[in-house]
Amino acid sequence: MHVRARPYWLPKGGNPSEDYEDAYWPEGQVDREVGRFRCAVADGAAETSFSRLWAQMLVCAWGRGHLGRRHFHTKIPELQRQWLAEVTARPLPWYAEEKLRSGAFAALVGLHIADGRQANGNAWHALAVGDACLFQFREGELITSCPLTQADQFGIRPWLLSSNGGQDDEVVDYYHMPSGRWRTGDTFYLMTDALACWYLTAPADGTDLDIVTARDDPRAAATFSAWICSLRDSGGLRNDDITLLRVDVG
Amino acid sequence: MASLTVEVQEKENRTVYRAEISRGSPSCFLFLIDQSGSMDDPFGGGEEGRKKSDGVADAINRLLQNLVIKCAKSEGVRDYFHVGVLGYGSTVGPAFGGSLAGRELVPISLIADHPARVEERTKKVDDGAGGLVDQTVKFPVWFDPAARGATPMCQVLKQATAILESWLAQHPSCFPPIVINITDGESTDGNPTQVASELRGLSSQDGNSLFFNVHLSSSRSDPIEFPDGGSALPDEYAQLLFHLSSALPEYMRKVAQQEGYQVTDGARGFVFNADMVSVIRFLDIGTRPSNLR
Repeated sequence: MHVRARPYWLPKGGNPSEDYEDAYWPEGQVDREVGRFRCAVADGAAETSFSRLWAQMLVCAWGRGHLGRRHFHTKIPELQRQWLAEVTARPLPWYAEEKLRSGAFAALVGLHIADGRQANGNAWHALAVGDACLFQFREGELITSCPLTQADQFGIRPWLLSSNGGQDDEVVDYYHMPSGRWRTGDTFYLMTDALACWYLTAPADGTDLDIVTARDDPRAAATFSAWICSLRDSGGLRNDDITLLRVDVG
Repeated sequence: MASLTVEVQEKENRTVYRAEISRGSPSCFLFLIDQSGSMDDPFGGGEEGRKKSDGVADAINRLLQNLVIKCAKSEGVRDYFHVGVLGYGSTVGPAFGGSLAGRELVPISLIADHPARVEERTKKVDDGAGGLVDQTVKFPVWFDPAARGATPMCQVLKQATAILESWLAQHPSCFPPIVINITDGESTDGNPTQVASELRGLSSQDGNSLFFNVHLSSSRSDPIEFPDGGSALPDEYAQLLFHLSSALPEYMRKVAQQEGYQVTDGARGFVFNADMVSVIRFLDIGTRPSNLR
């Protein structure tokens, strides 16, 4: 199968790019024939510290195939230990030590797409925890929305993956592992919550999303940034870090 | 008089307190702490014999600690807030200790880095097996208890107004300042109605300053929290403090409701007969940021 994937991201309006706390995988564009493809976006919770590191660790683990259904409960504690080792590698001031006690939190959505020549045909499966979302479009129509399907679901405090051991005992009740089939020409979007909420609030405007992200030129990122800024200015989009990964399969 | 007050409150709260709080557009908290001689009396409820001055100092230090932690990110503490503490008793003025002594409004990152001292205290934490164990935690201290002299509330309100006028001139579009007055007694330098009105009248483009009052108690009766009328309050002085207090903005009413309070649209930022627990809960609700970026 041929995969074209391109990440788009933007920090909160008014913030420098160093403050961006989402993460995505793969780190750059993809445009090639592959047998399998893994991608993910994660949203580090703004109220916590070192959440970007946690978000990055989660997308990398998914992208490298270490966080699948079978490995989830063994890999998460390993990632938690790595996170703690990394953030405590240097002395911390009293407030950072106190804040570490509550850990970092992140929403994650990861997608795995398999070529039709593989055993399961043109199949995909995903992992979703929290309010980062996966959308699948076919011929311009939304056919999959996961884990959230309506804009009003974003008001509820989502269950997020914690970097602290012992806070994820109930995660099995809150993660989603949807699966499905893809056809040539399908488009998948992985989004962090603000943009996903905007889309589910005004799905008719999804055409704009398609037009803006379908560009394949050096100015695509700038066009996306300008479009996001205009949505924020109009009040239609909450001012939050934005991450979008567009994946076209053929 | 009551209806006029309500009209004034509605006019004062005509905006919706939606401004983002960011490093480029910080907000501020100013605490006014009664340090008169009677603050050495014990609280009515809670820990037996605990002085009100000690309890309030602990509550303010804990609040400052929580604000610092809330603003702490991987790279350090972000200056979402500037914070001041004014004491009023035998003297009136800034009440930070240590290297921040004499400072009026201080960026939260400076507060983080300059406690007067850091104590070690123990707290009970879940041991993960159904029991509790002692854990040593660091407890930074910026503000020490004091209790001497009278209650010059008008003077401290004038000083707070001057500080906020200057702040608002520099931050005209900020989320409006929040002033929390903690007192156990009657003003001894006159009726504070006019100067409190001037304080509440200060505004940014996002709305008027918010002025909340905590009335501390030496009695054992239950506190009255976020009332929407003064008639249930037992004395003239409590009624006066109620009328001085701003109505809670909508976002703060929602926070109070989430914390289990029955608050109505007309609820004021006022607690009467506050014990230590209600002081801490009030400070938590009164300083919960609505729109941190």
